[in-house]
Amino acid sequence: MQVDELLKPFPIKEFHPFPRALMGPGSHELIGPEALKLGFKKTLVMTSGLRGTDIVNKIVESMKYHGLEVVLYDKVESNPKDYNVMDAVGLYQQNNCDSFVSIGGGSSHDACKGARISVAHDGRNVNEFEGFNKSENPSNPPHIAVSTTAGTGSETSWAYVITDTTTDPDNPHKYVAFDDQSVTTLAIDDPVLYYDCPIDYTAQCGFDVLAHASEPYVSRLDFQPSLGNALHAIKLTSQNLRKAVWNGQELSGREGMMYAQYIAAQAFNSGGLGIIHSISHAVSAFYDTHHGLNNAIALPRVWAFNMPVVYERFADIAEAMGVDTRGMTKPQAADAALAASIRLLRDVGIPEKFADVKQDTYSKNRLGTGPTKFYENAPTIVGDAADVDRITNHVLGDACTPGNPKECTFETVRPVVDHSINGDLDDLLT
Amino acid sequence: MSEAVVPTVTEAADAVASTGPFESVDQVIETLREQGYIADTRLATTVFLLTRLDKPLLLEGPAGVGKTELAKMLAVATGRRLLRLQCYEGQDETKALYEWDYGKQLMYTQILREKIGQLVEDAPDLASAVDRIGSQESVFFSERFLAPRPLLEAIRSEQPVVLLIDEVDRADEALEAVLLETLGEFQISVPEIGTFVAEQRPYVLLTSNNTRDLAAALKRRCLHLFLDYPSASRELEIVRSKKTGLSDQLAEELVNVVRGLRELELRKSPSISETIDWARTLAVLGVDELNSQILSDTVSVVVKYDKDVKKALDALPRLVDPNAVVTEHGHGHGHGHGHGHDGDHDHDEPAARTPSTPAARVDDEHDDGDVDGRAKRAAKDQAGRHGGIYGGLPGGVAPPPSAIRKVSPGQGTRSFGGSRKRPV
Repeated sequence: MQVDELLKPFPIKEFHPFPRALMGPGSHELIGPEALKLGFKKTLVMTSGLRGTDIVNKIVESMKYHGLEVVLYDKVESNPKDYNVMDAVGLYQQNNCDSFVSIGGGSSHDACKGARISVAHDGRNVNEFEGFNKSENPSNPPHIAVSTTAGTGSETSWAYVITDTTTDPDNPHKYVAFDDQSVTTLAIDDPVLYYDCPIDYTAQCGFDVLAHASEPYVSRLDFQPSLGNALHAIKLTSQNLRKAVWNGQELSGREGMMYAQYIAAQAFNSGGLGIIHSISHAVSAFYDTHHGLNNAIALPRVWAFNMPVVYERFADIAEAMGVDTRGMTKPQAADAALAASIRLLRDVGIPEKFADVKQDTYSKNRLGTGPTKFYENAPTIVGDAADVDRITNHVLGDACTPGNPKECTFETVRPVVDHSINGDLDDLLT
Repeated sequence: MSEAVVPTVTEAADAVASTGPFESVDQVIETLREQGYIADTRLATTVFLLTRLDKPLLLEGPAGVGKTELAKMLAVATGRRLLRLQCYEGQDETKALYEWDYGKQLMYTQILREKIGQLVEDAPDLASAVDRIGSQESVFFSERFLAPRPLLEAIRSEQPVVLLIDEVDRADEALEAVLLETLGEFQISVPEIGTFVAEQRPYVLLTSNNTRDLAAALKRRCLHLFLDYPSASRELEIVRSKKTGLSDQLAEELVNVVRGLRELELRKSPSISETIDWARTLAVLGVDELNSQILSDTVSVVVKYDKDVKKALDALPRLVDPNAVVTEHGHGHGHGHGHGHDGDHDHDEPAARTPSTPAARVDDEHDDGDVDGRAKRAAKDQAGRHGGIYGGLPGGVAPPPSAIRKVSPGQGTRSFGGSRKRPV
């Protein structure tokens, strides 16, 4: 076989540059000086509100103290919707802002990244930029992202995820846009802000980290520079997630997760993702459940699905998760990794299948209790054949699917989706 | 030394020129038109003032709208010689003003070695020898060894000239400062010799593509004109005047297409010169009717970036014929069609139009108000639509349906499903 034939699938890999990051306890207090340094004058702050935490208020006050004008858009919903983005763009343009700050988790950052791309294109609809590097105008306004969760890594990645509710309102579509131009100007990862993250979110975000780290580690890109970050993120997660969930006011667990999420995002940034994310996007699109939760439920199933083609890599993951793999064959070690992930999932108290997810834990506008605007009349997860088909179809079209190590067709993916909704985790452990 | 070098210093003509090559603005238009340059009144007025006020003219505007051409045509129209300074980054004043011709100086020194030897022959010591040579320095820093560059040449020229300082925005700010003396006083100081003042004030035109802001000091010394894309009628007149060989009817259509392209917010909009190139191209191809096919085939004459080409190709059918039924996009229904779900298709590509296999390009279509959301959405579930992206292909070309391997239902169940057995 010719060499170029062998190399054909992935001849050139792309390594993505990352923004400068300020990390560690107290780093969020530097936002004012940093914003001034970047030339901010009038800033649109995008956030989900973070009810009860006072984080937004503190940061906005600190910015004002440094003489910055601030316009606040605090209505970003989780699984940010296209209308959130376009509302923010309108606000930005009306007020002649010149810069962005996003405070929150992935939703705030992603909505902000979308708004930024849209602003750079004179307010064109954000949905036009789905896919890979669709933006054309590099003159983006500067953007500082302040993380209050540890999972997303959106403050450092070149991806953002938006839910398209307008193209076909009966059939919302959650998509990823990978765009070099969306990379933030500065990331601030302060574990102190993460102290206020509720227990359930902390657990789910932790599994987002595990998904971000494990997918590039086994992805089809097999991109060596990503693997170290991926493995270390898995290690940090298994060491710190339980602490962060159960002892929320203790620094070590929170700080460990903050670093884990950052390097995990850097791993997937260049190393690609897989169908944990594709399934997660599909379920979020139809039911507005949380991304981290979806990842957590899909993760063991997708690991089991992918293992046969990459046993060695899963054996490495087992070791990173603290399993003593001496004397095990690679497949045995891979199984041990799966068992370790399920154990972690149960330890931090995440529902085990989508059918178990209670409707009152579907995404809420964090300001209130009700569902987000668009999903007021949305169906609940039933898990019948139609549900499974619909989700499977969405998975096939997702931008993360091509990176999955095992080939994905309707026939191969459908059982994975079915199991995520209805299957029992104990099946995987036999 | 027998001959002393006298600096060429002349009194500046301070008074505003009461006469010039043009009697009136109309005459400017007329004279330029004879040279094939179609100027509107605003442009012609500015040119008229340039010739009367002896002030440099700064022309700003996008590339390819005729800034450089104006200088050339003004030279022809006024019978003046054209001197051109093409600016670039890192250019220093020696490339713009003058430099000492070191090679020539060295050569003369070699030839005159004997004479120089005699001069210092009887000097008692080294110091007095150096002094004697020093007293002759003016021989070597005289006009004889001065290599004039465009600016100095324009100032010293005995014949009247048009000086074109092209793309001044590309030059460094230092060079801009050097220009100030020349533009303000029409003079250049050479420290070793003296100051040269223009006997015949040159007509100076500066052009800028606005890649950066020019210094206020520079702008203050100049008349200023922003030259934008011309009106449709003027552009058509320009294209006609260039005798491209394209018929008037087609030229008119072409100008409208180009104007449509300019509205697409391309990275680089087509300029007038590119319109002319396109007209020539079409004439060479013997085109007698403009259709989207021939325009698509030749669009690279006017659009130079990959993404721009894609945008242009999408827009061309609409630009040629606003009422066109756009079938290429494959989004299941053209304008004026119903929603094509009833299986009663009368188009060319039925396969691409059934709801179960929507066309892969649907998601690229975003400027079309008449798109059915459901079809567009369904296309987003198509497997492999981002295909190729992990292979580094720009744009992520989806593989053809045949490239996606069929998998039997049993394989899925075997690989995952039901109860999973320990693999060892």
